[in-house]
Amino acid sequence: MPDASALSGCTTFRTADGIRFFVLDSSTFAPEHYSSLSNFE
Amino acid sequence: MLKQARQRFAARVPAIDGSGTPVFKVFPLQNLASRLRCRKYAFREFANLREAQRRGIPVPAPFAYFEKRRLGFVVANGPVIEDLAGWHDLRQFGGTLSAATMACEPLAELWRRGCLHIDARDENTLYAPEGHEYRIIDWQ
Repeated sequence: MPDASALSGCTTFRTADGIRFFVLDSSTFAPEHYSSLSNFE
Repeated sequence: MLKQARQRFAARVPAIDGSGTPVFKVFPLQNLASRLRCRKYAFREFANLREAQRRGIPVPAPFAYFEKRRLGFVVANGPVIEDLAGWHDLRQFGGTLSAATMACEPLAELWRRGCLHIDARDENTLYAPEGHEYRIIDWQ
């Protein structure tokens, strides 16, 4: 089982629909640009 | 939708500002047992992608890992990775001999980097349209 160190260096971001992102590099991926992800379940 | 399997699906999601179209690989966790083991697949894939990238293995660039929670439980999660639109897997490169020849380099690279990919096969090796650059995918 991988440990939580895989998220080291990530910045966290929570969208309006409650999805929490752990972003490696905010210059290459910005979660706020993905408006509707609520159907991901 | 790029791919759908029993336990996961992958979809290209365009950014509202047109800045990109990464692939969201989503693992819906629909029952309590899978929610209690929420880090078994999606989180492992993200962790393995980071480690493979650190070792210099050609993989789709990992951008992020996400979790959606309800009542404290993770109900869906997955990695967000580079889109490889237009790339082709080894099955589309002619006959068995040419595909087998092309498979040698990725397999040798994994060996050189001390990496065991548990599902190294033709479907999981994608080549750029020019046919030189490749990426090894599916790191669960």
